[in-house]
Amino acid sequence: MASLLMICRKAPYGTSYAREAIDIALAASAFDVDVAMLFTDDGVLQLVKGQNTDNTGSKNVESVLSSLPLYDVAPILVNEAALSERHLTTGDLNLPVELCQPGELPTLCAKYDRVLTI
Amino acid sequence: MTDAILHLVQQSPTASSALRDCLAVAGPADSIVLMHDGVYAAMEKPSAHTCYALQSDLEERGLQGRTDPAVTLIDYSGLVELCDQHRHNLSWF
Amino acid sequence: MKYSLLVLGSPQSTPAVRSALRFAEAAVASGHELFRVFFFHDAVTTGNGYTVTPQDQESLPQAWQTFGQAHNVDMVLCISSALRRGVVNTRESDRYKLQGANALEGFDLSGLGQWVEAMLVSDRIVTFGG
Repeated sequence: MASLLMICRKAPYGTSYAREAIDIALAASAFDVDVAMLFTDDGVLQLVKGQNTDNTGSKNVESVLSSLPLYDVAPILVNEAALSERHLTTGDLNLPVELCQPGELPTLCAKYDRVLTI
Repeated sequence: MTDAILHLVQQSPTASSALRDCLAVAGPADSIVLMHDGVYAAMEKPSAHTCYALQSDLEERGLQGRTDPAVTLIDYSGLVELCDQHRHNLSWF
Repeated sequence: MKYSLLVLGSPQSTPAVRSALRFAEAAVASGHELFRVFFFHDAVTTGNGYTVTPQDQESLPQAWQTFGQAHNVDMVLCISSALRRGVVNTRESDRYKLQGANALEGFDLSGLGQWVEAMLVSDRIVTFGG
């Protein structure tokens, strides 16, 4: 089975990139691709717990993300440095994640057939 | 072909965190390509990595002759060649 | 080698679509096969046939159309990005009862599965961001 590492770097609501990156991950998973996701840089902000879109009318990124485990997207990795730079800890996140370190990127990418950043 | 990564930095180093975020995770054997507004980072080679810049984007912005000589200038066929040589390329924007 | 390109940035306000075209031309000139170009996000307006470009500038919709036809490149506009931005072919125009169709010939409207397939069959993928 082919594998994809989707690297998510964008904050959830300022642009539609976050949602579109998740859409690619879900589509790949539906085509039997082994999908992993890495949230880094502003992308870690997508995982913040308690997003409320009732008054903005946008699609709730938190609830879209909650479907990742159902689609067998795993592992869901988070760059710990990006998290702490934004004053967040794993307790602030809406999904169980695995922490990784910035220096791990090259070895991580080498494990996957395809790597995409959005 | 190499497992080292080719990083395509496509945003200005001062307006965007793209270059900084890229350099924070790039491995020592990785290479950096500066393109679009990313070429503004070619004025001073941004890191110890092998670094390339897209000449047409530099020229468009009036940077010809002003870039760090340690940054190698390439055209689009040079960029294709670099992509050929690297198993993975990552875009930063 | 087999290449596929993911193009995201708007053709009007970012260099992404032009840059992807220059890359595509260079890849083909180097003897590579361009399997698919997937226009996603704002880049889908490249397929809008109602775009009017000032005469002293390169028309990217036309340039891509010409390039795609000359080299038999599969060019796909992400259907959900395209519908949101009002780029439709006759099929979608009829389905949503719109006034007309504006997608340029040579561009297909289809889903993300087309990009997933392109990732799987290509040796290299390159993303042109916003």
